[in-house]
Amino acid sequence: MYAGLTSKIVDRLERLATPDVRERVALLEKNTNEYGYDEFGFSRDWLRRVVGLSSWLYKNYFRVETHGIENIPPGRVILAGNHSSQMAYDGLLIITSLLLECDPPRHPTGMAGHFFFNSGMYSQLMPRIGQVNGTKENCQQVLARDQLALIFPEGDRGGGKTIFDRYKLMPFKHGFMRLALDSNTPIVPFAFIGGEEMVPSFSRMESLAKRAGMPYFNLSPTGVLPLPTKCSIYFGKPLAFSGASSDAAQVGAHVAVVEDRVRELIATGLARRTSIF
Amino acid sequence: MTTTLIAGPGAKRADGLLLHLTKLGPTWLHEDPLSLTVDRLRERSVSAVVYLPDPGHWHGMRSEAHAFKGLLDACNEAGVAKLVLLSCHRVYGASSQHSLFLPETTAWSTNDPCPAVRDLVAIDQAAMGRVHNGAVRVVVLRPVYVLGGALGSSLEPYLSAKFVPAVFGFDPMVQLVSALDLQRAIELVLSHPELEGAYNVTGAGSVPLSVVARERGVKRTRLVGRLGLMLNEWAVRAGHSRMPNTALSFLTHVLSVDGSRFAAATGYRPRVPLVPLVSGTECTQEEKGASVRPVASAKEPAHAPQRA
Repeated sequence: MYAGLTSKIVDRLERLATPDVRERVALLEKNTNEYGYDEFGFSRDWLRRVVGLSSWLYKNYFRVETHGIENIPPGRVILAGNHSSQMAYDGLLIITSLLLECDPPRHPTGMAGHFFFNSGMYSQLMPRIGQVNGTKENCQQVLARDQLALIFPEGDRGGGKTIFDRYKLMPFKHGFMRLALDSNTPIVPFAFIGGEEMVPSFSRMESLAKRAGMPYFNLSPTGVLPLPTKCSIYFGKPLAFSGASSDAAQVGAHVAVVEDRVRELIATGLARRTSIF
Repeated sequence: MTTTLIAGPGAKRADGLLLHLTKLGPTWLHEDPLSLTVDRLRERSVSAVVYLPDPGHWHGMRSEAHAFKGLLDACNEAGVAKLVLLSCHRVYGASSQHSLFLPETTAWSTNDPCPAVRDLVAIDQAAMGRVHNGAVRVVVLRPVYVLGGALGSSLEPYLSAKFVPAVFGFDPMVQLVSALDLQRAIELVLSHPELEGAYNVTGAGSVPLSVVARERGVKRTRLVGRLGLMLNEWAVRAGHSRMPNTALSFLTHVLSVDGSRFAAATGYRPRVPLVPLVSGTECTQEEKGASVRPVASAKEPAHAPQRA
């Protein structure tokens, strides 16, 4: 029964993948083995199916507009921006945008929270579409392979914001900056607009969530389903930093620069937005 | 003439290994480390010991740590030059918090819920306590999941059980190494007298656990919730499953290690490619012939002449 249901879902997702999506996924530079998996667990087949669905959502449901994608330089890059949408829909749409809008198509490896890897389905899905546990060592491995790392430096505090705190940037963690300094990697700041209203949450219910080993639960009238908000992604100019990663004061100052840039991009995006939907 | 002693409860299943090691000199197979005294090691002119813990020991493993420590002491006193412990990467434990490609410096999973893993950690710790701290040079090999033989951290017992559990929604990537490559790794350790310390040993690559099961034609039962756990516990008690509930974290979380240090130290490169390894067709006819025991088995009397 389970196998039959799985194959039906897979068939449906395969049908959603347009020829353009298929071609772009095939063009990605990934060292996959004879079974189609890379050493992180990424699979083109899985990505094609997921992007088959997400590209439809990207174009028709969220009607995503991407600005400044040409600012992403080739080679290893850290993409750092604001987090929202409770269920990491923003991450999925950013992955989709890079795949559909970049020429040649690119695929960022997202640094996901530990809790994703504790829950069934997510634990399987995340690595297959190229997302890894967000540890320092994993990010080092990604950058050492000259790949793109997608980081939300606010962490789960950003992803699980309530509607009352929408577009308020939580303090950035400093790990991404240390990694950038150590590996001499440029940082491309970005702002995701539309994610805060997508799954409007009224409470994080942290005490209840902790019992389930989660950082938060969202109390939302839509549950985990997103509203069809109009989304836009703004990529800023790459920022290059230098200095010692052990100098906490310097790292803090660099992080503040990135925070300010993301804040500016959010303000630009909100000013240009005519309607939430 | 010096001899390589292959000791430990896993020794009886290491037939192929024996043939490979005989290229380096005679070998002596002895399963019970408790009966190995200093005099017996000297009598046989043992120059190296390869200790093989019980393979596939997810369930019902007896505590070997005490016997292993005794063997370490005996080796030290008898002037044995090298001791190789075939540990496994499971000593790091499986956790959602782990990074990929763990180095050898990763902490042991001393509080692992699985008693078999804790036992292996105790043996590994005892061996590491003697690195740079005694006459005998100790090398601890921590291979990833082994396919193609009941050696070290073999996946074969899990795959060959009547009831093969999987946890619903989880399908971790598993790193795989061929038993033949692992034998070559042991051979390399024995041929590098200066080598000491712990080394991860990796193979041709990694695939999801479901792919290994599919390629081997194994039908897995997906456990869901408490009922699934109860079912598995029942299967373990009835002898149908080899994965107790305490070891299920290895079916849910990725455990991958970095084997570059061993490759750099010895020039080791896995020879068995991924597809034949996963599909179980890696053994050539010549290699299959390696299952013939070339030397004295432990069941023979201690004074039995060596046939190697």
